[in-house]
Amino acid sequence: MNKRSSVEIFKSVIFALFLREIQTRFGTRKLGYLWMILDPLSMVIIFTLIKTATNNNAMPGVSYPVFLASGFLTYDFFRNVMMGSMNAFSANKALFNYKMVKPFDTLVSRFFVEFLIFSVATMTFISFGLYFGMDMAVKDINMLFLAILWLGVFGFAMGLFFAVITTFYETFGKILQYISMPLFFLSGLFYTVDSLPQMAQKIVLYNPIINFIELIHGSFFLVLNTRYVDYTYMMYWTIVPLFIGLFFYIRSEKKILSL
Amino acid sequence: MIVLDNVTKYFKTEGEKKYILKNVSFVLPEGINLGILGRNGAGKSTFLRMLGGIDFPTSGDIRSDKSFSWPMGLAGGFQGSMTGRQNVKFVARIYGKDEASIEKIIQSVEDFAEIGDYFDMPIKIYSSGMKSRLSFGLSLAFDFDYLIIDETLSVGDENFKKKAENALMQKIEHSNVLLVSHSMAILKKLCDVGVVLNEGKLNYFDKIDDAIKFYHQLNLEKPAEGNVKQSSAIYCSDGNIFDDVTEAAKFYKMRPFAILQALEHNNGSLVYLQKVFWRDGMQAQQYQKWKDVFKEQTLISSDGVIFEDVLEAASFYAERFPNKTIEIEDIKEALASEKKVSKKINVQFHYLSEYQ
Repeated sequence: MNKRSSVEIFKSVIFALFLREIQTRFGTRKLGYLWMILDPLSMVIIFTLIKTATNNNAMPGVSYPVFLASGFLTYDFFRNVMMGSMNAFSANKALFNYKMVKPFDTLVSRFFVEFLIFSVATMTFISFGLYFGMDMAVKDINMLFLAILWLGVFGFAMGLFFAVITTFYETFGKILQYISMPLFFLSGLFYTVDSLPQMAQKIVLYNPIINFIELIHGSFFLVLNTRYVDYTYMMYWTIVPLFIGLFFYIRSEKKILSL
Repeated sequence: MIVLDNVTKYFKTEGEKKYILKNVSFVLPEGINLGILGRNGAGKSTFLRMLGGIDFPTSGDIRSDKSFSWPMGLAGGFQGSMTGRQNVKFVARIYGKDEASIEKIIQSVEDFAEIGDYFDMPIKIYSSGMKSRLSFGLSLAFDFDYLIIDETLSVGDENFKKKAENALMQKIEHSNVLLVSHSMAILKKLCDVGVVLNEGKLNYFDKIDDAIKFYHQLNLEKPAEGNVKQSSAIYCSDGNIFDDVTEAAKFYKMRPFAILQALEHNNGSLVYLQKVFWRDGMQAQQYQKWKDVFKEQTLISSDGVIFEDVLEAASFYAERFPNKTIEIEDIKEALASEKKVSKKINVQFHYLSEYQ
């Protein structure tokens, strides 16, 4: 066998894992395709109905369904990247019998799969929006893209960090699932930070995710702004887990492989 | 060439270190087929995986610039919801094959596995035989310097076993094998040299026969301890080796009980077949026809089982055929009849004294 460079190996493994993941995820459950649209869509509908029922229009100039959709889709993307990474090592254990498949590769390929799912879901939502004639003008598309990608990298960093920990402390994964439940309500998905009382603002902004969502909303809608976003804080939350995760991953890769 | 440089590997079980290798340095010369032996729990599979680079020593270094296959016959790497074809494609892709060679690999696996339309159906509906055909075919479709084989040669039906063995023999003309097996016959056939793992030591033998001898010696010296399960391999004096009693019984069309009886009561002698059986780690006894078992009333059935008397025979069959209401009279009748066959259960009975 001719020798391949490690970059070539990495690329072919990621590509193969990517296709495999797509085939398994959507091959088994026929509703798989549908679910990735239905999940955020149902959320958007439910919260729009609640909003209309309470007749509480705190955001003039913002189409509330679009506001919700932009938040839910990106939040789902982040959550799926993070939570999906956690069991990636154990789920792909059998593949480590193939020498070139490293645990890290499974995280990277999952990231790409989630990104693809996110893109498809987003495009579907845009088509819905266009069909119903919603206002989807974007204020700062470059910033919006950057924010979404950054959120993805943040999810990846957290995922890597958690994946390494859960490999050695299984209960950690369960604990994390409980901790992450209230995040849905604390991440500014159906309200802006601006609309909160000052005390609450301070507290919720400790959550890095709300900073990202706020940045996404602020770059999307003309009338919203990003003045609550703390970029330095977000950067810390991305870099620290990424490097700690990598550090512990490199140290324990062989252990993970021989588990 | 594979170089082990001061390799130590242990597992921690209940706070105690269990050594597989302890400060072992060793060089496996180029172009040699290696058989790996050791008692159960000695760490043969782990050692094999370390050689192949998918497990790692606790300390020390294993070096080689050769390419190694994945453990052959590995079915765990298959994704159940994907078709056989998709699974094969996946493996070809991680090895960085281009589209043309992927097609070639798929073709050769499809030809080898002979599973027809199932090749395009999800693996989870495959029988275990089909799975092993596929995985064996997959392993053979690639070219490696070393093939890593862990006890997988005994899967599937007789036809497939032969086919797999032939294909493997062909493959070995260009590659080498690193093999773990309980089957001494296969080890002898495929391997040139052998190592026996024992309590952290690696005992190397220039000839596989010597390794096998040493391994048996080891088993005789130290019978398996309570919780360490010994291999259940059954050896027969005609050179066949079976994974367990059931397999042996199937092969000789005997009742498993007949083989158990031979092993446990008759020093391994199976009178009906005039062969000797022994378990892994035991030494073969001389065939003692019926010296040990003979009494005036002793019966032998065409199932290979020996009975002390008619009563025992009757109760044995009554237990196994509850619907057929076997009684002592039936056996007596059979013995008295011309062909000595009991029509009820279609078994022949003889007095051992008359039986040749």
